[in-house]
Amino acid sequence: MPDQNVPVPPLQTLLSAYEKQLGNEELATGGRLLVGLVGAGIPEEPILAAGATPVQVFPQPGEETPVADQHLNADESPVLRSLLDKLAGTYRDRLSLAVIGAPFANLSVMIEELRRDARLPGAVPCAYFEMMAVQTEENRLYSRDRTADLTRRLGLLAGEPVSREALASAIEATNRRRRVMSKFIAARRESASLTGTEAYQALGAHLFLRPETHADLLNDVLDQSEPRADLQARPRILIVPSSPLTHAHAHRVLEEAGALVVAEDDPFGARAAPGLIPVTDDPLTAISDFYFENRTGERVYPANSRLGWFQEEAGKPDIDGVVFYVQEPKFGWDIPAMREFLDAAGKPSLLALADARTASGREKLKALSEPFIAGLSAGRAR
Amino acid sequence: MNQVTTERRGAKERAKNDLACTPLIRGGQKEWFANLREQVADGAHYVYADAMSPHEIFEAFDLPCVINEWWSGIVAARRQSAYYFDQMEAHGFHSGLERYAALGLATVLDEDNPDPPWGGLPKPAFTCSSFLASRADCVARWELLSKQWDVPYFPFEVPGTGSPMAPRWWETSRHGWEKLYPAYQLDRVHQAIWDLIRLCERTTGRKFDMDKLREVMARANLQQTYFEKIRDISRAGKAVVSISEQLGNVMTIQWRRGSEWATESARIFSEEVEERARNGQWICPNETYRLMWMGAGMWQNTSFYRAFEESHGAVFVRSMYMSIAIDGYPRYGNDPVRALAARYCGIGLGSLEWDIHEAQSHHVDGVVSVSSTLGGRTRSALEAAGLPILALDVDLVDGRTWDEGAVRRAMEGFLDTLGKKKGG
Repeated sequence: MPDQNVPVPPLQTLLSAYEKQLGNEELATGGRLLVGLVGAGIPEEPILAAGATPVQVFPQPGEETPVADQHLNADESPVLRSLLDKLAGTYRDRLSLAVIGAPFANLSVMIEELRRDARLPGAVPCAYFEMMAVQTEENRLYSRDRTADLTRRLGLLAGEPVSREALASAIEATNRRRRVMSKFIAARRESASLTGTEAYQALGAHLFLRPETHADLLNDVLDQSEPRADLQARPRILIVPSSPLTHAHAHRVLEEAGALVVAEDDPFGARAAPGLIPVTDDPLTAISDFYFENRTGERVYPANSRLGWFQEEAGKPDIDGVVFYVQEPKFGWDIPAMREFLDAAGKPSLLALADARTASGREKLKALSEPFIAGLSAGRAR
Repeated sequence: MNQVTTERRGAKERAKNDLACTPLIRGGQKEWFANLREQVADGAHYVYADAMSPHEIFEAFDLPCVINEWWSGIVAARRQSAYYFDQMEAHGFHSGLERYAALGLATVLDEDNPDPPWGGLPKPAFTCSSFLASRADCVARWELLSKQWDVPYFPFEVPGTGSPMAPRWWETSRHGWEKLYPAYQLDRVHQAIWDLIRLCERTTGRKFDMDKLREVMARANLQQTYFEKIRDISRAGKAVVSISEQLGNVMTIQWRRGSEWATESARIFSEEVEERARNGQWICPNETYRLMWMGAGMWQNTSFYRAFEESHGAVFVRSMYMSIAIDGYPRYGNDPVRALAARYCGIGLGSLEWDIHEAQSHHVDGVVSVSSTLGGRTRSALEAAGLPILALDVDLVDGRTWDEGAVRRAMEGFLDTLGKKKGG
C-alpha cells in the first residue's frame, strides 16, 4: 500500500489527472461547480469568473454507452455515442452545465431534440458556443456577442452577473498557467527530459485542473526535470492529428516504435498556450478576441491562419519527421499541401489512417509507423 | 500533354424516362452549359458555388452559377467518378475524404484530361460555398479548388445555434421565418449575404437592384408551388413520375431557380404530371411497395430506383430534393435579402421530424438509402416511427463501390421482409 505521507511527484499528479479526468482527486477539492466543455476553443475565463471550474469532457469510445444505446444505433460515430452518454449519463450529476463547441453542433441539436421530446430526462443543461471561423471584423464582433451571451448564462448559474473584476482575475490565473505551459512546451523540445506521451498528458492535465493547480504542478515538473539520455538519440516527431486529440494512444504507439514525440499540432498539447490574453479595461472583449484569433483545426479560414503554426514548427531543424495521424478520415484536405511543404524542406512524413483509440487501430498505426521511424533512426545515425 | 482516357466504371444501366418534358429540361440545361462555356471563353463571368449558397443573389445580377453538387451528379451519371476518385488519390487525397462534393475539384485537378465531362468546367470569376460548423471539412477543399483556378473564394458562413428546428417548422417557415431563428443568427447571415452582394457588384461592375431580387425571389417561390402540386399527387395515389426522373428534373430546375427558364420548366413539369394523374398513367400499375429514398440521390446509378418496379411492384415515391424545395426553400417577405437569409439559418435538412412526416404523408412501406446517410440517430428515429429501413453499403457517386449483385440481394431481401409485414 502506498505510504500516505510520501508526497506524490508532480508529474504523477498531472498524469493521473489526465488519466482520471473528472475523477481526479485535485478536482474534488474546493466544492466548486463543474462546467463541462465539449470541444476545443471554448473560453474558460468566464467559467472561472463565475466561480466554477471548467473541465473538458472527452469521449471514451469503447466504453459502455447505455444511454446512447436507447437513442442511437450501433453505427453512429463512437465519439458522439460516448459524448451523449457522458452528458446524459455518467456526468449528469457532476456537471452543472455543459458548453458544447462548434464541431459538436450535431450533438447539441440531438440532445435538445431528445430533451424536447422528454426522452432524455436528467441530462446536463447545455449551452452551445460557436465563434465564427472566417477572420473578419464582423465575425470578431459576432464572436464577442456570443462570448458575452455565454458569460450571461454563466452568471445565471452563479446566481449573480459575472463581474469585470472576476474576469480580470480569471485572466490573471490562466495567463500565469499559459506562461508556465509555454516554458514547458519549449523545454520539452529542447531538453528531452520527458517522453512525448508524458509531456502531452502533463500539458493536457490543464483540462481537468484549476489553472493555479496546473501551473504549480507543471512548474515543479520543470524544476525537477533533467535531460534523459535514453531519449536523446531518438528520432524527433511532430504529430499532426486530423482532429483534436482526446487521448495519448498515438503518442504511445509512436514512442514504443522508437520515436520521441516533441510536439503535436493540437490545441490540447503544443498549441495549448498561444500567447497571453491582454490585460485591459474590457476583459470580456480581450477574452473573446484571444479565442477568436487563436482557433485551430480544419474549420479555420483562410489557409494561412490554419496552417501557419504547422509550417513554422515543422520546418524547424529539430523535427526529423512528421506523422499525419488521421483518426477521422473525413478530415485532411490540407494534407497533400502539407506533405508537399515537408518534401520541399527535405522532411520525411507518414500518412497514417488509423484510429489509435481502438486496439486494432493501434496495431495498424504500429505497423505503419515502425518502418517509418526505423528509417528516421537510420537517418539520424548517419 | 498526357493523354488520359476518362475510363467509365460502375453501374451500366440507364434510367428510363417517361415524361415528354424531361428531354426538354435536361436538353435545356445541357445547352445552357454549352452556351455558358462559350460566353466565358468570350470573357463573361460566372460563379461556381455549392448547393447551399444563396443562388438568387447571382440570378439578380444575371451572373450564371454552376452548382458543385450538380456537377458531381453529371460526372457520376457519366460513370466517370471512379476515374476521378483514382485521380484524387493519386494527388494524395486519401480515400476517407468527402466524395459526393469533391468531383468539381477532381475534374479541375485533372487539367490535362482531353475529354472532361461536358467539355469541363471553365474558370469562374469566384467560388462560393456555404460554411457551417457541421461541415468544417469543406473549407479547405473549396480553398484548394479556388487556388487551383486562381480565383477568389467567398465562404458563406452560417453560424449554428446548436438547436433543432422548431416543431413542425415546415408549416410556418414560408412567412413566419423571423420567429423560427434567433435574431443574432439571422442578423449575421443577413449581413453575410450583403457581403456577397458587394462581391457581385465588384465582379460585375453593376449596382445591386433590390427590385430585381424581389422578382427573382417571387419566381423561386412560384417554382416551388409547381413542385408542390407534383408532391400532392405523389402523396395522394400511385406514382405517375419515377424518382429517377423527378430527381434529375427537380435538381436541374432547382439549380437555376429564380430564372424565368426554371419557373417555366417547373410549370411544364407539373402540368404534365397532373395530366398523367388525370389519365391514370401510373409508372408501375402493379404498385405494391411504396419506398422513400432518404438523403442525397444515388447519382452514380439512378436506374436503381426503377429496377424493382416490374419484378416486385416496388416504387420509390419520395426523395428529399422535391420535398425540401417545397418546404425548405420558399421565403416570403418585404425584405428579400433577409428572407433569403432566413432560408440558410435552417433549411430543414436533417430534421427527423420532417423526414418522418414525409414518410408518413407519402404512405411509404419502407425507407432505403446508403449507410452513410442513415446514421445512428436517423435510423433509430425511423425505426421508432415504425418505418422499416434498408441501408445499402454503396457510395452515392463513387462508381467503384457499386456491386450489382449485392445491391440486388439486399433490395430483394428487404422487399421480402416488407411483403411479410404486409401479410403477403
